[in-house]
Amino acid sequence: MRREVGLTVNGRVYPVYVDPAETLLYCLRERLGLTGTKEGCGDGECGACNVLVDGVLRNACQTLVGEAEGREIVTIEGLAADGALHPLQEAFIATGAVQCGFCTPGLLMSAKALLDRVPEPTEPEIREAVAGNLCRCTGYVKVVEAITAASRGVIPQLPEAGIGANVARADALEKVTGAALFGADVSRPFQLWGAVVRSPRAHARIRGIDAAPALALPGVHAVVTGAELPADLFYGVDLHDQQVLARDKVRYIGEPVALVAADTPESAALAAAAVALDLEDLPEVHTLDQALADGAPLVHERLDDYHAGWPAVRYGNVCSESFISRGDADAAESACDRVFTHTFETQIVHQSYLEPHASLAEADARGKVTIWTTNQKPFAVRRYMAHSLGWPMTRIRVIGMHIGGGFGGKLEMGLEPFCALLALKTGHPVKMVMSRREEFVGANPRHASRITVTTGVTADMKIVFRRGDVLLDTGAFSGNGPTAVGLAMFLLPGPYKIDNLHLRGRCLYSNKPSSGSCRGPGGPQAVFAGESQIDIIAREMGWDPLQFRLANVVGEGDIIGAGQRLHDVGLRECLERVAEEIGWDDPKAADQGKGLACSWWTSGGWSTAAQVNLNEDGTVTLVTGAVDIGTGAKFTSMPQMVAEELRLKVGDVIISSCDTDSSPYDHGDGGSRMTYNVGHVCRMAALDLRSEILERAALLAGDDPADLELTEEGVTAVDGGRLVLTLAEIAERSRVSDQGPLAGRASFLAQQPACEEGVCGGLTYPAFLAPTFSAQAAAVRVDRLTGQVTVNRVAAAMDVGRAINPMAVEGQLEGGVAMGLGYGLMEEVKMVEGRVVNPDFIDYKIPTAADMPEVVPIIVEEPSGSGPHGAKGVGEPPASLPAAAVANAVEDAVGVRLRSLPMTAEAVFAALGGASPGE
Amino acid sequence: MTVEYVRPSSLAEALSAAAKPGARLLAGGTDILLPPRDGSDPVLTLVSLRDLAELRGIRRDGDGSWVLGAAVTHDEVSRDPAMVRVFPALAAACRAVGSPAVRSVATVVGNICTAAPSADAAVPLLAYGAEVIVAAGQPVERRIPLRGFFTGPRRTVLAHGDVVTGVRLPDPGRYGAAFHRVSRRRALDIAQVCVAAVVWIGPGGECEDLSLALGSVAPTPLLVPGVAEVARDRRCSASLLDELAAAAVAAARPISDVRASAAYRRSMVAALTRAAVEEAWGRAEGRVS
Ligand SMILES: Cc1cc2nc3c(=O)[nH]c(=O)nc-3n(C[C@H](O)[C@H](O)[C@H](O)COP(=O)(O)OP(=O)(O)OC[C@H]3O[C@@H](n4cnc5c(N)ncnc54)[C@H](O)[C@@H]3O)c2cc1C
Ligand code: FES
Ligand code: FES
Repeated sequence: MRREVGLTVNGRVYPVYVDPAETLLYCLRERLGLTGTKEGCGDGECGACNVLVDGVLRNACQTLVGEAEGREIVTIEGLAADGALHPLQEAFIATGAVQCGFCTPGLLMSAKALLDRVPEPTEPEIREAVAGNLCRCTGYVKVVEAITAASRGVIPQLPEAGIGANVARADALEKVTGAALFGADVSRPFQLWGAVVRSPRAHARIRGIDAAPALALPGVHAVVTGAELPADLFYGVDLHDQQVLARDKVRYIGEPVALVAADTPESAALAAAAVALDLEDLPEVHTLDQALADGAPLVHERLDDYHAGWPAVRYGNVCSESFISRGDADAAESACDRVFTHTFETQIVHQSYLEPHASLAEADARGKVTIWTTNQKPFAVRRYMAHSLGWPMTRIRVIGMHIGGGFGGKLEMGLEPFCALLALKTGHPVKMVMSRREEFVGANPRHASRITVTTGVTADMKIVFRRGDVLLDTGAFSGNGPTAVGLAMFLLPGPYKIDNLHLRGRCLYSNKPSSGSCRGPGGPQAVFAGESQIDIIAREMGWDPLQFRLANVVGEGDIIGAGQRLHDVGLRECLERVAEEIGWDDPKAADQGKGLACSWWTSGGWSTAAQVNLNEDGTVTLVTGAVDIGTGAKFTSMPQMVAEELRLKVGDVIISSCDTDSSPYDHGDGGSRMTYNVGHVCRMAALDLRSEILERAALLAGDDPADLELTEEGVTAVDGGRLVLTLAEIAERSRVSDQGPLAGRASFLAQQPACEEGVCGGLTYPAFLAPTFSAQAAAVRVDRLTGQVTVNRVAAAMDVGRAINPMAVEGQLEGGVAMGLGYGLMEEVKMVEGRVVNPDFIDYKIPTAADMPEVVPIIVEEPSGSGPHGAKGVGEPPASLPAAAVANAVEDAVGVRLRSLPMTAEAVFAALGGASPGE
Repeated sequence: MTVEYVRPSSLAEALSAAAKPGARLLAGGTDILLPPRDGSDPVLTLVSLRDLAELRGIRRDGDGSWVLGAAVTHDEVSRDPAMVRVFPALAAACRAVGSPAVRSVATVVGNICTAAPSADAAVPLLAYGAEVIVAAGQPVERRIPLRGFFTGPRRTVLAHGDVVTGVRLPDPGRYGAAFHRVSRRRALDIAQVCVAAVVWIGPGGECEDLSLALGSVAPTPLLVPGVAEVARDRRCSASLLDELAAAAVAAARPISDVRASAAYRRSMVAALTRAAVEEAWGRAEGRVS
């Protein structure tokens, strides 16, 4: 029952008229507009909502308003006192502890609670104190560093510009103060809340949907079903096999079948539960073998009718088949001294960005919808909506908000069309936020895999051939599966010189949630298989795993993948440096072991454009359609490169947000493409502006452009350095009297390197652009009593071409290691007959600060010929190696080999032969 | 369906509010505010214990026993110097619960009243022979031995309207205790198995009494029967550890679920029992701090 409640928040009393049984989190966010406190799970399992109540750290999602009434509540918005940042906030900025920033407010509140109690905490104390704050981006390394720095009063000063300089992220300040707006942080007057009706069955024909019981509930405004949408329009990443809502049948538990809009989140949820579905079960496909079996039930009956954006080979439940074949693996086999075949299996894991999907849509009088969303590809959302709903793009506007982590999970269209349809139908703005449970059943996790790999070697340590069969389970829709299979095929042979290669990849449908992209799609699966086998071979042959790798790694000019020639290869240095860092040749104690893995990956391509406008005061605005999922490329390297060409400070660059109505096109944030690709176009646009500035200055001053140059002061004479005009003077005079405002523009689509004719087929991505190289080494200890693997240390090296912002690059390495360790040791979306049985952050386990080992990031720079300043793409690869490195270390420690993931204590215990007493 | 929130200012008021149909007590709220489980009774009213001063704090009674008020949180127990010194296994269990933001509000009494099979604090409390103190409207409070408190997963002997005011721990005297736990993560995780061991030894190093409790391996937290008889008058030895481990395994009735298989749980009961008894013994002899 509602009543007047006095809430004291950050020293101010807010009288609110609410139900005291409402959560403090909802009240702070939706009634007081204090959206700095985040909701990552709603169940006390992530810490994103941490606040202090009378000095006590609490999860606001598990605190009722009545419990906080009359007490002193401090939220992130109250951490900075009297206009000065708290030392913790300064330290988070200065050490690079902020990436996506979604976990940051909660982490800062936990850290404050700690420092209030223990002014100079030790590292274990810090890790324990923040162990309830899940962070998916940072691996906690810089978080621990920041808290230590703040407590000791030693906060580093950062430079303001420069290539290779640790400039602070341009969005860090808004993220440490809670001001940054993420997907769920926007609201509109009179907004409704939407909810999704999801299929309770894995495979069933839809006989009918009865919305009447939902519509009869109080506060319910509308229900939308698939029957109202175009019957013959489909969309998809590569294969257009998906519709906005299920129409004739459902293909997985959790598939959206209808939408509801209501006054509150609770009434929307109740209404969604009340929509009655009449379903007739069909035979289900849950495993790879079931999908491949003769006469298997078909997940998609009309596979051939779907539009495919590449020469697709598809049949039965195989949505894409592809091959790479170089040399002659069969003939080479006879030349080998030993041939090894092994099969490896990996599980489904979830990206587990801390910010759930969230969108808000509002329709205007002409039926144009504006959508605020947290999506990695706002332009693709507009395109997919046009494809699947048949709307012209003039009716769709997508605005990109801050993204609280994506890792590929927000590359596909999510809630956007749902909100748009409900907004049109109700005439109200409609907001939707996925619950953490929905995230596990209704998003796009990483593909489960089964990979068989055969390798032949000669006694002199040469790899003669490799054969591979890659099977990925893509679930109900192809998603990014066809590309993920291809990428796995590129990675399976490893970064080795192998002249005879025969790889086959298949992506299979099943009645599971659709898998999508996850940080380096196909990568961790293939690296686990390929690099585990490298160690198995070395052990069997009595070779040192490091030497075996070094004897086969690729170098300048070598042929790799589907026949592309390599350049700028920093791989050997990566391997040597991680081996040194981990003490490869040092003796080891009992039950301790070390393991290595190495790999390669692409810098991402795809179209982009940018504009740099000269402002009247001589600052500039960088206009890009790029968004940032947390890596910071948009807030570090891109403005750094623009500032560099214009001799400005990063603080002089306004960075636009993405709005499909006003930003130039960009493909989206994913595929390690931001610094390499978008950074390149930003730099080109800055260079374009620079030449315009010099020409305009020459015109205004009556000089020859060739005699002028741009310096920190403005345009100066090459000869003697006389200041001709400042940028502000040029801008202002151009605006008022001469030729109009100045802007530089550029468009870019990186050209894929050529690969050999006939060597591959069915691939969506046939060559790696500006390849990067990585190596990691892990040191572990295995507890034989429990099977628990403790990772003590990981060294992670990557050839990044050129680190435009080394602190940001380290952040990618550290965060990638954390994600890869989670993948290797603890994470798994568990399904029973297509139903996810662990859809929460307690039973789906991502590493906490207490689980993370020491991580040593090592930056190797072998500049690429094509990237800006030699940069290559960084984001994805670090997550692909840890599982393999740990598996190899486990065998080194206790002599058992795990061929499937995750390597839980239970799995290791079983491998060690641990039998249950009495069994 | 909306839930009503009431905040009584005295125990008497709380008792009458708790007696209403559909009423449930709200302590830290970390269990009761989770999404309702299938088949659980609908909560119509939440009765907040927040303002009841009489439930706060840890005190020592005249007979030397310790009483933890129902408002005492895991955080308070794990930081309280007396608790850490006198009841190290309980302090360790409380420190293993969830995360700092959970522990700072979640109560020990809420932990036992939820009666999850995995309730961490319940396990050492069982081993220590704790009693639950219940106010039920009568002038005289009831004391229920914890060993008879749990009747099934999420079920206890409490009647609707009962308010637990605290738990009482007898003065343990000179003894040793240990708490061991396995989980897949080092924080924010529910135990796959946990074991508490409590050992009293005589001047000659022989066992005078011993108790052993298990969590996450049966429908309720569990006291292993018969172990005191096995251990009495014996010294710590590999064969004794094996016998105790066997007794613990025999008492466990684990299931396979999303967190672990029954087989792994049984193995861990044996492994953790050995480790916990050995450590407790070491503490009793003053060898382990
Ligand atoms: C993220 C997370 C992690 C967790 N991890 C763990 C863990 O590792 N180990 C573990 O054991 N538990 C864990 N829990 C569960 C929970 O935190 C504990 O059981 C906690 O001790 C419950 O206490 P509370 O004060 O929050 O109880 P509440 O939720 O307030 O109440 C729990 C139940 O007890 C009843 N109750 C409370 N007080 C009284 C009283 N005085 N008299 C009668 N009945 C009462 C309530 O009505 C309710 O039914 C976790 C919970 C979360 C959300
Ligand atoms: S939102 Fe409160 S802990 Fe996750
Ligand atoms: S920075 Fe922690 S979750 Fe993104």
